[in-house]
Amino acid sequence: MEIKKAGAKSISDKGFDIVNYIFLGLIFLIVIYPLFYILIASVSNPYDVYVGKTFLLPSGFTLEGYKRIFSEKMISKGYLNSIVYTGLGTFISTVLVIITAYPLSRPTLPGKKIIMIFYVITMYFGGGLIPTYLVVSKLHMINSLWALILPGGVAVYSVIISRTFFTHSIPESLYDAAAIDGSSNMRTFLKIVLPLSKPLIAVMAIYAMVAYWNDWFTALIYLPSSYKAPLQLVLRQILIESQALANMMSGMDGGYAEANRITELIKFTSIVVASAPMLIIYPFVQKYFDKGMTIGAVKG
Amino acid sequence: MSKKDISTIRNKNSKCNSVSLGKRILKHWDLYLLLIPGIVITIIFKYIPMYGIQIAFRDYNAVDGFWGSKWVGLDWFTKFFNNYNSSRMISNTLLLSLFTLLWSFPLPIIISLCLNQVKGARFRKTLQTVIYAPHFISIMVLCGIIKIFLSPYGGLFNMIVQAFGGMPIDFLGEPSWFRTIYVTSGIWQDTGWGTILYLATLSGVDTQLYDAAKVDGANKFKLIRHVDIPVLVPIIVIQLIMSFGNLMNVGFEKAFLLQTDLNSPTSDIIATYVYRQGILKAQYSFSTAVGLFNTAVNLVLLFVVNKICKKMSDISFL
Amino acid sequence: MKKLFKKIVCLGLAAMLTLPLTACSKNEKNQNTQEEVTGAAENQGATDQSKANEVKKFNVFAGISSMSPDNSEKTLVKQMNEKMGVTINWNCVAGDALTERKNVLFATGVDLPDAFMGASLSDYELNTYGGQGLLIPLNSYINEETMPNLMKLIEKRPDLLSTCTMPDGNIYGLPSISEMGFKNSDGNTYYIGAIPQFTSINKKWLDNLGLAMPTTIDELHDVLVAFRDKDANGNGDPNDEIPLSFMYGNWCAGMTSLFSAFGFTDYNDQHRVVEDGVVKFNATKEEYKKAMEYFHQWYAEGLIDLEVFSQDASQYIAKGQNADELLGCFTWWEIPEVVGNDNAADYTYLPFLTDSEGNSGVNLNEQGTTGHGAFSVTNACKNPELLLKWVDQLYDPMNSMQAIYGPIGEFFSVTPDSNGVYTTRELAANETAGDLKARLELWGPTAQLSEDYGTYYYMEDRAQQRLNDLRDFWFKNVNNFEYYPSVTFTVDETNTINDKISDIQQYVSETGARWLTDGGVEEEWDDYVKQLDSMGLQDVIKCWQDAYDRYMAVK
Repeated sequence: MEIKKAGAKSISDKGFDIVNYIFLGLIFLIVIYPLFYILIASVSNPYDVYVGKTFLLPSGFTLEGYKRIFSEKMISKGYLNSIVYTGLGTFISTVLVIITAYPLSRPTLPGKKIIMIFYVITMYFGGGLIPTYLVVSKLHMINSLWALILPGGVAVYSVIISRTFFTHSIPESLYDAAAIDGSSNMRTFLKIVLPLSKPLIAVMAIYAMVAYWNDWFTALIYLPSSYKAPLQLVLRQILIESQALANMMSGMDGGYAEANRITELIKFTSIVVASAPMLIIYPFVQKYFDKGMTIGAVKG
Repeated sequence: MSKKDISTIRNKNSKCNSVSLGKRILKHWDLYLLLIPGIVITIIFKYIPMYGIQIAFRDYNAVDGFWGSKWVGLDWFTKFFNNYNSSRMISNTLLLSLFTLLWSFPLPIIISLCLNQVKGARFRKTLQTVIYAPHFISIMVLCGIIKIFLSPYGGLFNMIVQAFGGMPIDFLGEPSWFRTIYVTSGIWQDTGWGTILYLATLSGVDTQLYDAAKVDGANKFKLIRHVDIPVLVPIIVIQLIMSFGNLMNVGFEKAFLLQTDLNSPTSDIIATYVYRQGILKAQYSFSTAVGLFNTAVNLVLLFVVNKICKKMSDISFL
Repeated sequence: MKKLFKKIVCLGLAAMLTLPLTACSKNEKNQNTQEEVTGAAENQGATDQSKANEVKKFNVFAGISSMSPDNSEKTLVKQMNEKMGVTINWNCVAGDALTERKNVLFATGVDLPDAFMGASLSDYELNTYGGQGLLIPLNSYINEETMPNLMKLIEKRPDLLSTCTMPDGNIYGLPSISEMGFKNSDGNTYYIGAIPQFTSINKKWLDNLGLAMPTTIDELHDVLVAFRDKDANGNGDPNDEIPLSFMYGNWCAGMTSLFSAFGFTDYNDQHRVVEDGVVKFNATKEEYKKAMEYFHQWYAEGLIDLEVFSQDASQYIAKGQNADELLGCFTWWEIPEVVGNDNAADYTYLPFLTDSEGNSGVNLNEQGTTGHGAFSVTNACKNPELLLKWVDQLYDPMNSMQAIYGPIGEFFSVTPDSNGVYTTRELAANETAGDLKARLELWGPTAQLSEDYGTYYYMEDRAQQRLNDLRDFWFKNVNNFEYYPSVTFTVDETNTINDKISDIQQYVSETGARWLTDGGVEEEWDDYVKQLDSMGLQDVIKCWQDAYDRYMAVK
């Protein structure tokens, strides 16, 4: 058995690294180019974009899209609303997922299979929009923030993933050690399992955060007041879908091309405006599951 | 602690016969406490409204309500299956889903394994943020860009084709191209997002395992094979099972935006059909019935795949 | 981590504390059993009127345009509220979110607003929800006392009420009327959408290549070949010209004006047409088959834009506005919109083409001037009389004007001109009238009679131009002046039609597209017709015919 000198790399490792960097570099370019394109499009004349003039540089440079969006009163309100909904929703959702997944990951819990089936059924069968709306309405939650968060229930997919993580990624020996120490379930959970689950919690939080941030449909249905609209709903209403062309009214009044140009421009700028927060937050959450957070807790 | 002691304790905890059911429930009272909020919310918002499923068998209207609307039995299902396009829709939906699964399932795994091996923190972190960004591009904008890139008049891809001496291809007009376009754009958009979970799992790997393996003379390939992959297997299997359990749920928006009259033989899926039916009048009953059909297929797939996976790797979603 | 935890809990608490307590207390829960609904209807004119009179607050669900702010901020609304002493709690939606929310409200039947305004309720919705009692009949409110402005309107247009009366005899939606039309030489008035597809051709290119304006379809073919092969736009590249472009199946950018050489035009998206009182389906005519066969040749020869089946308006317009002109021949509502003001001078209208013997046929598009989906009252409204009084203000010509375009001082100049007519105010450098209108308009039941032009406000230049063009240029070739009117269908007819029409339309579009690109119409025609019949085409045509006959009988 060869004992390698610390830090020395074999040839195959060096080769691997080179191929790896090239591979990942290619992926980087392929992924970033369309994003770059969108950025360019957000400051170009849309009609130049659509004829293919903007592959490398903007054409017909204009900041009008951004001006429009930010002069829209509802945008800042929408941003604020979204931050509140997303913050609250992420917190509640992540907590719910974790506290549901943990007990279900304990092999000795009676009835865990039944409870799991209880949840999985809801992934496949649902009464639909109308009965849910009626329940929400009866609970006086229409036009309330809670209607955005609670009717979604527990994210069962996340529960399943979390449960898998608790079972397979946390060493059995840790649970045994805790049991031997006479630790109660809650103590094991709070003091041992949770701190080791930072990567999982980070991922669940991201899933929830992005889901709430992007959701416009729930707000559309449950929040009639336009002042409560989250950002995505506001943006969605600014755009005229292409179906609108079928509406005779827009044609008769003339000026369609002009209105269309603005909405096309806004389409691209709104993506930049709406996604920016998520992209900015990600690096902060990322550090929780980046390489290097290790478990070295089991000794001997 | 000897291995024997540990196994005794384990057996003590898991032997069902030795401790009565009542005692075990009492022992785990605090775990049940944790479960209660989720269960309560689920009952209120998921189970109570479930009576709504019956409108798949009724002709729902708001005044007669759920219990009063006329019972039509399987009429909606008959309408759906008798439609002259029904086999096309169903096969298109399934094929799109299967191809997406086939091509976009392995890629996040591969990329996370590779990323995990990158030592330079800055490169690694930047790459991560970049590949996850496409997930935020709305489908409307994505389809807008696709149309521009694929245009026969100056679109990026056709410029490349012409540079190689070919004739411009009308990508969106050829049914045979639709699936490729759909799947490839899906890969671009969601691969990065899919790596998050795998990277998180890999980050929890004990570095001692790496050190031990290196001492044993493992190069990077061996590390990946013997340390990384086994760690990911449970998550991979679960994701695979759940993906099959979702196979019929192909969203309508992307197919709708990329659909043209020419490529509809491959682009017309169940969701776009239901959408068309619903334009003239809201069709809650009909869409519920179609949804039930999708669910039925999904459930069958879920259980079959789960059983296979359980046999092969002892991992199941239950 | 603990700090973050604390922060989030505080945020959560704060959010909860700021929940407004409105909304639910206003709307009583409607259980919507059959009894309660009819019971409520019976109580409409009965006692308790005094109690109802005290209600001055209303919840209104309103559609707004994508660029406009919430209705509560609009000047006109504020004025109308003040005049009637009314306050309105608005629920405004724009874009296609409108349909979703409207459907949910009707489908659940709870939390219904007092009225739907500018929500484009279809006949189907009026019939169904009116029939179920969710919408109340408005017949008894249309009188001098409650709706004086509407009554004045009815005096001028006696047909107005019958157009919004549903087959069950009730009026569930208030009428709106928009008469942008011209008097043709035959004495009849035709409206601005009578021919929605104006085909245009690049005059400059014709001159550059020394070609004459084509008059027959074969002449156009030869011109297009020249466009394809030669460097018509003079930029040195003979291959960048697109001879003919359009948007397949589109109402104003479609290709069907070119069908005139085959004896018909097909402007209605359901392919419906009336000839000698008989309702027909254009897509099963022999002429349609011949047209498909002919144009397939054009496609095979590379004369037609490859993207006609996939491009959206943005891509289409982008091609038009390119600095180096790319389009040889295209279709749209008008010319400058597509090619921009700079290029517009180089284009001119292409007249309806004939076949080689000089025959052509042009029939008109359907022209509805009246609508009835702009305002409906629900059974949740406690004081319909006051609400209708409030909305009646919109029928006053000055208010209609401000609702359609924008308030005086914001869209129109503060003072009228020397004729007493209001004109658009001075526009700032980056403003366009269309933009301004989109931001200021109020959707609702309005009236725009032809006599209003020149009395209160002027018709927009573009609209006037289009009307002139229709009268002087396009109408010369029209040989079939019949068009399918705004009928009202019965519930059964609507069900039959809605059930079958979307499959029929889809099938026609798909096969048409395939025939244009790949050919094969001759071999497949018989099966195609058979397939359409098995989809219920004849039933749909019968419904159309029945409704038409009923309409004509009343006239």
